Amino acid sequence: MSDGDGNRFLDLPTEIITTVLSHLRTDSIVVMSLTCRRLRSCVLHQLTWSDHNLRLEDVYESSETFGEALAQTAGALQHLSAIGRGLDLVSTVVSITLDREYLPINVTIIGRILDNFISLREARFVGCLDSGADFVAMASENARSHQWISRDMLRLLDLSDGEQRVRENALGPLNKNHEPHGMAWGKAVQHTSSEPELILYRNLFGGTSVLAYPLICIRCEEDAAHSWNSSGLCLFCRERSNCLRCKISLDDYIGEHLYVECEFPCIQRAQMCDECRISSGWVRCSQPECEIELCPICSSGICATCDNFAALCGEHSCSSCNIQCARCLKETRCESCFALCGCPRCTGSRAGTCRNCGKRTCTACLSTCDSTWMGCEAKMCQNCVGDHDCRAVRTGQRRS
Amino acid sequence: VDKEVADRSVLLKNMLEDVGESDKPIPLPNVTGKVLKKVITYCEHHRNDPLPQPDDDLDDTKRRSDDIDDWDADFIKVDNDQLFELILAANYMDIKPLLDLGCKTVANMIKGKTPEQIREMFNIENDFTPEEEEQIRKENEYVSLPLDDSMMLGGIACLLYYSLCIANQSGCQHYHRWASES
Repeated sequence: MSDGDGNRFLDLPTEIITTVLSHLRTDSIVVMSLTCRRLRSCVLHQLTWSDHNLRLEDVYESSETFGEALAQTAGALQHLSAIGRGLDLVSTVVSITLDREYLPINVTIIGRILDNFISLREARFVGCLDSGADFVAMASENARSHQWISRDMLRLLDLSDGEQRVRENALGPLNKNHEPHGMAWGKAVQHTSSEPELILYRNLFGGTSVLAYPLICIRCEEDAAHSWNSSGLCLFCRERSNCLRCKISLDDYIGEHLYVECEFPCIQRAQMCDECRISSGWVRCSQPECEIELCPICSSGICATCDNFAALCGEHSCSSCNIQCARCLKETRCESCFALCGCPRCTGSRAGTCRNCGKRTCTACLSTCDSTWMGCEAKMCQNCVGDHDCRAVRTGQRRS
Repeated sequence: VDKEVADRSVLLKNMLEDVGESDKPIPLPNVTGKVLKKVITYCEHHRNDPLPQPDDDLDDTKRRSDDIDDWDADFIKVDNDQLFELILAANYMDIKPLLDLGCKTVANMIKGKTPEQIREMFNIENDFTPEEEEQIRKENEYVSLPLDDSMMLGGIACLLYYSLCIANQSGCQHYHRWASES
């Protein structure tokens, strides 16, 4: 009891304390039971008529504290059942609802809850899984998932990522040939495994009455469809012609294309409007009037000659050596035919010969050699041969 | 106080209906003047709100505690003593929205706290016996064990504890008191 200094929480009638408890989730209720005998008594009474839905407060900011709270709550309920206090809480909990954007916890905690709470009908662990592969491995071991199914109680198992998390992953940079699990569980961009665990996950519960999210999109049958999207479609199919970031229609921007692909020889794509692509690092080729776009990875190059920012598409960059900025590349045009004859480094190795007209170009002053005599194989013209401080010539080694 | 404001309290509403038109003051012996003033402020602000319906309790959204509007949040920013007095007054005067507001506020204070922090906040004395403390400690340790083992260990612990109680009559009384309270 309170010591009479006026702080009278325990002086409140039991029904008011019970009302307070009704506004708390399971983890807080369990914590209240650990404070004193009276509250423990109120809690045990509360747990017998509560809605049998295990939930946690939205106050945890790290995976560690969230995991600890879940483990402590589940453990306390199990223990209270195990010591025979007349409360078979473990078998009365029929649902668990954890709905986080992304707060992954140790998969063994999820496994233990599914093992021990034998009357669970709906288990929602949204945003709680770091890797689908971990869950598949855990659930496959000793046919553990078969035990969950064989009770014939479980109807829904939801291990989706939260929508914002999936949306962020979908914004990319995203591999055109990404694995389906890339849009299912956390590690979308960094994941390099080729194991399609989303398919394995589906197979764990295939042919049973368990509805296991994430599902596979009913339209493209490739990417993951999540519980927060009731249409059964993946994000790409659901927002087929909308920018994934700001959701405006892409018809005006992309026309018939569903998404923009990086034109540099890479495998990135985006399904965003112009403004969103720009804000997320996509850029246009810096050659004038070139509309081709480059993904944030390819557009981050530095000119090998002048160290300036360089963003050139595959058509406007040298395919033989390091990327060049527009200015440096432009200076290597053949003065006779104005065709690109290669970047300064490559013209050096090719003795300044224009690929188009075959005339030789001085790699220092970039003027065409006037000499037509056969013996002219110099990299520099007669004017420059004694004054070769041009950077392109002086630093004529490939940048590592 | 306007009748419209007084009607926010079911207690006052019923009393007014019983006594009819009268200038006689209505006694509220369980509410101090300071708290009553605060309650009137609340009722005046919410005079036009719809009255709570009996089946509101069945609505799960009513059990949320993160839906307190700005005015109410500002109104309820009081020290713990006054908060509990307001809750008791709301309970006595049967003003359900104010009672809910108080209970939600207390619930929000509890969320994310450890047992020690809750004891300190509400000045609660830890009256668990060492044996009960040990039991609680086991509840927290239990998570690292599989269920079957834990149940077995729990059962063993119970048997051991009960055996000790039988050996020690005072301890046994202790056990029974704890069990009955729980």
